[in-house]
Amino acid sequence: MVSEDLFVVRYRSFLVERSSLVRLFLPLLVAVALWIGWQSVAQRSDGALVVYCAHDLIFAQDILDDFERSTGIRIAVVGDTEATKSLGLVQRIIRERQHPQCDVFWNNQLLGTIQLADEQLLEPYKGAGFERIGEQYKDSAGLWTGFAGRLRVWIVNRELMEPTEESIAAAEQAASLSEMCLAQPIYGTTLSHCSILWELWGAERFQQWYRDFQQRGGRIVPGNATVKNLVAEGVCKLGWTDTDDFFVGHDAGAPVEQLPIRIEGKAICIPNSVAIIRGTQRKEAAQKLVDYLLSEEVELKLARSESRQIPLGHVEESQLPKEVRPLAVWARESHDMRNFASARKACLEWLLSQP
Amino acid sequence: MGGEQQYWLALGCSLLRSLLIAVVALSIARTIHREWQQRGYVVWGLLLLPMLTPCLLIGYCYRDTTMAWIASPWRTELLYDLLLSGQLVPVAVVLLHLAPRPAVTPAAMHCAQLLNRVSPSSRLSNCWRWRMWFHRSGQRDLNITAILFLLAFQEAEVASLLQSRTWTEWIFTNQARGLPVINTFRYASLAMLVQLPAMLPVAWWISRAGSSEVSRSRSSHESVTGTALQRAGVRLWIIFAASVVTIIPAVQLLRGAGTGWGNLLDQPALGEELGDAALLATTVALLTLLLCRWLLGSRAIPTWGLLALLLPGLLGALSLGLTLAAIFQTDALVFAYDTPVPLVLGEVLYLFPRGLLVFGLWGAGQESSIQFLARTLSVSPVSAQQRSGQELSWMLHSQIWWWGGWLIFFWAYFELMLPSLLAQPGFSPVSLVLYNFLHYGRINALAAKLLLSLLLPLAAMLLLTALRRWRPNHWRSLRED
Repeated sequence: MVSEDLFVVRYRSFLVERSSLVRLFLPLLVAVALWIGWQSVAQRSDGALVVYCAHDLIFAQDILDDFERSTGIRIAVVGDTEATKSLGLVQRIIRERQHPQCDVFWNNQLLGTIQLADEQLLEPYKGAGFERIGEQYKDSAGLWTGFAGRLRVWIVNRELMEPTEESIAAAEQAASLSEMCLAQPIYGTTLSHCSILWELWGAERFQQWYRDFQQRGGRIVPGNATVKNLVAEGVCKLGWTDTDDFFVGHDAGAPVEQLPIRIEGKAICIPNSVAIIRGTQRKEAAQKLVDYLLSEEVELKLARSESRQIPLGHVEESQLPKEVRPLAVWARESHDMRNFASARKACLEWLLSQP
Repeated sequence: MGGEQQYWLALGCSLLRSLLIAVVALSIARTIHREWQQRGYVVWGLLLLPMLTPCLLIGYCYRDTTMAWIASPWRTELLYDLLLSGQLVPVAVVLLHLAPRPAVTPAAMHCAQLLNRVSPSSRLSNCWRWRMWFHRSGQRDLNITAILFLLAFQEAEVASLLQSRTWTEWIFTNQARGLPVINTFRYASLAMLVQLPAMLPVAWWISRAGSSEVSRSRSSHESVTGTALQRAGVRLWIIFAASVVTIIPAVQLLRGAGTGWGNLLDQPALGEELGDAALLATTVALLTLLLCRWLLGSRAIPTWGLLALLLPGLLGALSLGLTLAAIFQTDALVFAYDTPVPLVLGEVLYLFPRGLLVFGLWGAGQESSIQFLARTLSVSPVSAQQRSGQELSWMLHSQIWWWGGWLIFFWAYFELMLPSLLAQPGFSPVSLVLYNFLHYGRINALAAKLLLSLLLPLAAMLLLTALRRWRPNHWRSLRED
């Protein structure tokens, strides 16, 4: 009995000491766990190729993972977000110009990349991928190369109006444009679109058109996805958007159709663009990635993805999904986006001055 | 209207809206608190749902609705005010529930009222009446109002998604219009000045609290039953707020979640994204807790020192992020740019004012005589006393830090702006990915991932809270005398 009581007393003392030890070591344990966590995060970017990617991460991540698997080159991705589209990756690269972090910039359009080229933040490279892409989709000095484009289109709710060019023309002439919407024209593909109008119509005509659009009740909404949503839900009858946004609505079963927007007979094809950032410490790996992104394999992957991006280098038409084939035909008759880079600045300045 | 004029209009709207919502939310919260303080977990859960609903969920649900109202901005304003109130009322209820007992008791108030009725000569002077009101409920209410004002004034995500007229949305949009960083800082500083009058008295009170001899014991609050109308109003509000802020957006999102699950589980980075968010939120919550604990327990912090620490957080996430990015791009600090330091520092500075207000209100840094006795009891050699002391210490002291820590965790977990500006390459907390999905319209994947990202930390919180109370049976039997 005495030995049993002694055991209980000693065990209780042990429990008291143990709870004190736990209180002492628990914070240490937590600190060590956090340290290990942050160390593993640091290892991800240690020696990795840093890619700033403005493309849809759902598709881009797959492609970058495939590259990582096939080459063994580790990649650390920085993506774009809804909330920071205005601060986006272009601005980040400009802010980091003294100490660049990015090695390769994958942009989902062109004009931001051209801005970086103008600011002399890009490294020229003309590899196998560059040679594959048509002239109108690349910089002659090799500072950037376009690939996997998408078209500017009318998105039309077929339950509210006929998806034909005649009915669209009639809708544009209506007294009220409250059932037509377009995205904020101060950034993105809508800015590219407006830059083309500015260049081809002239500044005065464009400004008149824009004021008239607003005075007649036309809606300016946050983005192309919102245009798609409003038309799909029947709040608006028609609007400007991109083919990838159209297909999101189409695949969701919305009653929408698309028609290419043509200006002076030509469509507007906005390519993705890829560029190497000046000052990169991993030039060879960056060049491999650029060639990979510009390859037929990747263009076909993006064409077969939900966004149905249009290959801009040569691919066998039979390999394209059937929805992409007519888009590829329209893209062949599209404007050369390089001609509108200078108009972009003037157009943007004027748009920023508008309410 | 020029850009500068639009800014002043947006700032004025934000100020008026925040003041109104803070006052109204507190009034509603006080009524709810009186009626519901004895209710069970289910009711508390329904009440707290709006507070824990991510802004992304709310903003996404109503974004297209407000676009359809583009010709009627007053409707958008009304909706935004309702959503904000719905989120802030439960914050106020929680703050009221855990606030310490006031120094002036109901008995003292009753005596004062009796004095006023006895004779004119025995009436309390106005000065004393104000002092009694202040120490009865005024101090608590002013502090809670300050917290609610701060939360409403700094709200940016829902405002951006709904295109509401706020100073945060103005700065964000004008960044797109090429506003230089230095001008961003200037406009954000003006907004910071607007918040100072709310912060000043609180900072003064907190800096004095360490030397206060007033007992801050925590005990059950007096229960005053309201009228039947008030009780019905409380029920109606709770159901209305939960529906508008949480249930409707959740239903809309869950429609797509079913098809999104398949895609979700195929994404290899899912675990990494959730882990990154949890790692960041845990680090930020712990550091903020330590900072608050040190400041509130210290008797030597002057008011101006406290204000200096609070000011960066009042700039707003966008301006703070841009400022830190610029600072860490300088030659002296660029070595730390590609590390977690800028992001963790930014989130701590951003959440520190809220944390300090919350813990300061709860009297977390002060030890009352009862707390001291409980602490003494918890180290008793008698195991039953020790257990009782530990439970008392938990109820009186530790649970404040526990629940406050989780609140900061959730704020850090769903924070978007600072990670988008300061996160190192390869670090992708789930909030960034969710907004990327939103930007590109990947709604099904967004729905599934949002649901998972919300459930996991909630499950962790409930599990850890439950574990605290677990004791093995044989351990308990050995401890019982």
